[in-house]
Amino acid sequence: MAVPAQSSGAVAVTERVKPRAPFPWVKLVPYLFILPAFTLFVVMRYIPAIQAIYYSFTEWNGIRAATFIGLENYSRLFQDSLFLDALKNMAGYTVMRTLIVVVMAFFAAELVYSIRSTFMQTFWKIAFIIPLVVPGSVVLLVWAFVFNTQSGILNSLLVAVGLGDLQQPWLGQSSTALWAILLVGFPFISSFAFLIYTSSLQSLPSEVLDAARVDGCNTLRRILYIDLPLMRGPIALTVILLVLEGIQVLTPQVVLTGGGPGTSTESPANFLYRTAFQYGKFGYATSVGVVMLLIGFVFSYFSIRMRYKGAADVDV
Amino acid sequence: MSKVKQLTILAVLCSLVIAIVGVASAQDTELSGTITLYPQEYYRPDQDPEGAAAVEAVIQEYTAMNPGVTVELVPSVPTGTDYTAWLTTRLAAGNAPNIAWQQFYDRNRQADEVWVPLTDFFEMPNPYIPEGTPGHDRWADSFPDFVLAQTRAGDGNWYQVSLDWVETGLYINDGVMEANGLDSTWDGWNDFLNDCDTLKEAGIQPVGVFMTPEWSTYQWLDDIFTSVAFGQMAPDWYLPQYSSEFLPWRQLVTEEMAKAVHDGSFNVNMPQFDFYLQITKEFADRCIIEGFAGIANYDEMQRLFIEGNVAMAWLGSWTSGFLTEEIKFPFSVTYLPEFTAEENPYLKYGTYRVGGPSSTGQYGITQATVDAGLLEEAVDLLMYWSSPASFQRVYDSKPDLIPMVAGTTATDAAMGFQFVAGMPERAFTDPIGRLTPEFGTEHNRLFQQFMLGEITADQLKAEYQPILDQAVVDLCAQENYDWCNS
Repeated sequence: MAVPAQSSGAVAVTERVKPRAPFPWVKLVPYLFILPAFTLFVVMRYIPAIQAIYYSFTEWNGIRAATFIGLENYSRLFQDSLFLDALKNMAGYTVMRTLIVVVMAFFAAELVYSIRSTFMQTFWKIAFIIPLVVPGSVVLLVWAFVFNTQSGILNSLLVAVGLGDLQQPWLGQSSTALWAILLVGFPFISSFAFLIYTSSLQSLPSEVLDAARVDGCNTLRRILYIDLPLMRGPIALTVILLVLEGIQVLTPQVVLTGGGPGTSTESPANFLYRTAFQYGKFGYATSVGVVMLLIGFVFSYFSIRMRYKGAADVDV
Repeated sequence: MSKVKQLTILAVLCSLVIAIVGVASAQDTELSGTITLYPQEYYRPDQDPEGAAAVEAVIQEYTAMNPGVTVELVPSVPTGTDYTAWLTTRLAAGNAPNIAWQQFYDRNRQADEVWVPLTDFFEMPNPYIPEGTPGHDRWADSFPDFVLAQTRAGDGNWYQVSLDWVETGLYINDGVMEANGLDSTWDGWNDFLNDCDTLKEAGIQPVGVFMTPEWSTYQWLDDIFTSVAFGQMAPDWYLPQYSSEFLPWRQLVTEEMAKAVHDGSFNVNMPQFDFYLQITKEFADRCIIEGFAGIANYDEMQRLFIEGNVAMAWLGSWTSGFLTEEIKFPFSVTYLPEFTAEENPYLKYGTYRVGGPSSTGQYGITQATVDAGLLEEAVDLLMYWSSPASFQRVYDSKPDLIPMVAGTTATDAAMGFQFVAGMPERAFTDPIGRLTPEFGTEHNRLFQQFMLGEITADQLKAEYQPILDQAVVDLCAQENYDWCNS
């Protein structure tokens, strides 16, 4: 084996080899790799969204050329009592559902986190996450059976426990229909939120938890003063995602109620869908979509700002 | 003869020969191109291979006769798919089938913006119909007058052929009725309501009808109640362009309904409207099942009857075969009873037939076919497809439907609904097809609330007149009827 000449000397002076300057185009390689995905993203997401904004200022039936009509769709939209009812329903549904789901998923994650047996912890994690793979429409069809006035499980259960007087046509009257749709998430442990909270709890800094334990901090105080402040990020993320989901809620209306009785379960997304595909008013429908986009955008912006304001878990 | 003369004669002869050959070939142009056909439920290769094979055989025969034409069959979209959304996106993208299914009221609303008017073609002979059979000399004669009347668009054109039909009937759980000392013969409407009371007192849900803001079987109820209340007036609203001496009683078309609203002949302040609301509410309170506004679809309603949860259910002829197989108790099919003259001060007919073209065999030609230069081919294929010899074979795979092509024979299952077919046609079509689709949805919402007792008759009337008026404004903007500015 050839020995380098320098190694025989008293002091080995290694000549610093100047790295070869890469070809200028090498810097572009990562961008080239990302280009196909980015192109698809732009074509499939951004362009339709921008087009939708344009079409919201037009009268368009989806087939013939669109006619520019300025703000007419928006002015009509905010005078449309059905749309305003839909917004009201959406607000109530979204606030209630987000609150319940965040609390319940957090509660479930804390319970699972506190289980000492690894086997049982894994079992409960799997149990809570499996529903993630069940299609939403299937879940809704099952709930249609649950709520059925004549043969539904809910009314049968009420009779069985001696509360027959409380039997209701749950989806068949305005006073209970939206609540019934809200109940569809029962027991409200969203698999997705649970997954996020469990992994966040497991990644909390152990030194903080150990110190708290040494100081005699009980579970409730740990949750309130350590877990919650350190989990602002994951909680904000789930709140934003749940609110965006609430703004776009459509499947329960399509599968269970059609937006009725009356306007009691109507949602902006169902209003949009019907306006576009049943009435053929694509221009008007896109203005609904733009309003939904703006609501989601404004909410997300302020949520993210609040999440970072005075946060203990990040350096801002 | 000089050489010039000889050449001139030769040239003239050649020109003549070329002209004759040219004319002859023009007269017998060979059809060519690829036509896509969406036969809807008649072509479901995965679920119904036998029916699909019948369709394929018919098409193979056609392409054998017309070797220049290729027919691509588009299988029916899967259950649960919103067909309107499916078709709309294809129309927008320019790849919709050349011959496609569509509900007649949606098609008539889209009219010539999407569909080719078939009116002129209806006057042409259909060469695929044997001589002596209606339709051979004039294609339109292949279809009954009431079918043509009911499928005519607001602009006076026909945009579709309707090859089959559906009827509705009241399915009776005979065991439940008998156990409560009842049967399915009634002396009048009030007798029927009294039976509903008896059933309710025994804790039995009387009549299965469901109701959503969109299509539901409630629509049929509304068709009957409007016809009962306004039947006497309906012929006064007929417009001459839609009328025929052979059809003295028929369903109102959209323009006639819109004009009646425009002229104030149909409004919420009429005593007939109060009567209409009264009979609707009485039926809701006394007969209709609890939770009727919380049942999402026809299948769920049908299941309630099959499982014996309701004494009667208003269902369609198109599931009669399925019901016969599934129902495990004695049952019969009848119809809603007639109103007597004492019960209805505005009586025209006792009751009305709710049935119609909302079936599988509704086909029209898309405008994109004209742009592609395939109109002649598409019309020819549609003529072949609608001829009795072809359609009979296709129809036999779906025996619950009622064929409407002269020269075809109905199956036994369809014949079971023949008694309904003999009743007078309803004067009003479903609310969702009556004026505009928006009107239909709003109508259903208001009536849901009214029937549930969430709003009063006065509240309904206050909200109903503006939606009627708005529908007419929208229709006038769209159709530009000549009476709109009067």
